[in-house]
Amino acid sequence: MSLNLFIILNLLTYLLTLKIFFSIFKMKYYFPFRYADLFSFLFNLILFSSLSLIYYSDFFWITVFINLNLFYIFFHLINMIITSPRTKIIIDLMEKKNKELNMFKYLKIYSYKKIVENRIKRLKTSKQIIEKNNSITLNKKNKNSLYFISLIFSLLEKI
Amino acid sequence: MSLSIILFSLTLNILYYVISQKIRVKQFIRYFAGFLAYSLIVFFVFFSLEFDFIFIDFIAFLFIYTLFFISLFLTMSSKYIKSPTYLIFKCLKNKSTKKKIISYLKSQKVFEKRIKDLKDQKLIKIKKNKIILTKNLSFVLFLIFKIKKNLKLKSEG
Repeated sequence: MSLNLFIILNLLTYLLTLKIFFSIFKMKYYFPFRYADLFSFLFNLILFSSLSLIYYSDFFWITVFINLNLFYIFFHLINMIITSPRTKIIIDLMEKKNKELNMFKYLKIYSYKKIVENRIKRLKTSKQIIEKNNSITLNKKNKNSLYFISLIFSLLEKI
Repeated sequence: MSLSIILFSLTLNILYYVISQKIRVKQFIRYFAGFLAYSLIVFFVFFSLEFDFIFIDFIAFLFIYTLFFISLFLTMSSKYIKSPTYLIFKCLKNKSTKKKIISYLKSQKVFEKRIKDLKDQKLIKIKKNKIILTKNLSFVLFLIFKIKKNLKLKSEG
């Protein structure tokens, strides 16, 4: 098998395993990662790194980095699809036959209240925040992920 | 060999990312077009200088080079517009309520900024209070839509 075919096979297997693991684990998290993402990354990393050690030992690190990149790209893309307001607007538009939305009607369905409620629900599920008597606080015991996100944003601003 | 290809493609990508951020290329289409031009120039220079280790396994190099590009490209969108989760986190540094968070996000014009950005990216246009999808980046949007359908994801926003 040629190296090119090996790379293409890695990509196709990654897509296939992602589909399989998503149908098994659905949206279960090992915060901040989904099980489906983690398992498909580990499966492909182990399988293709081992194969590259046997058949293309020169390309071992390339195989590792290909799988790291695929993990980052799909993790990011899936997060975008689920949580990003811009992607939601685009997807809602794509789902419309005439590719149009009435802004006022749309803002009633997808409002600020909805944006906040979705996030509070997700942050509560991942135990990042605590809601008690209408007041919301950060879960100090479990604060690492949100602090980490905040750190990434600060770093990005500096580049 | 393998590590030099990785380091080389990563360095070239980081270099392009930093340059494009310094000259504030925010539009995805321009960023992509710039990347194609930059890559062609870089490959031409290396070819002329007979700096040929990237051409020996060009497909492997091109693949990892493209993957690094996509990774950095995906990072770019978080740089200019703060995610609502990040804003909520900022708001929650002190105890807060749902109402306060909503009014904070309103004050930050979360929705308006996104509509403006989509307009600037030329992905949508606004006509008589209607949001209309344009045909720009239709292939990328089609791929995103296919991933959503295939993995049965719900776009909650």
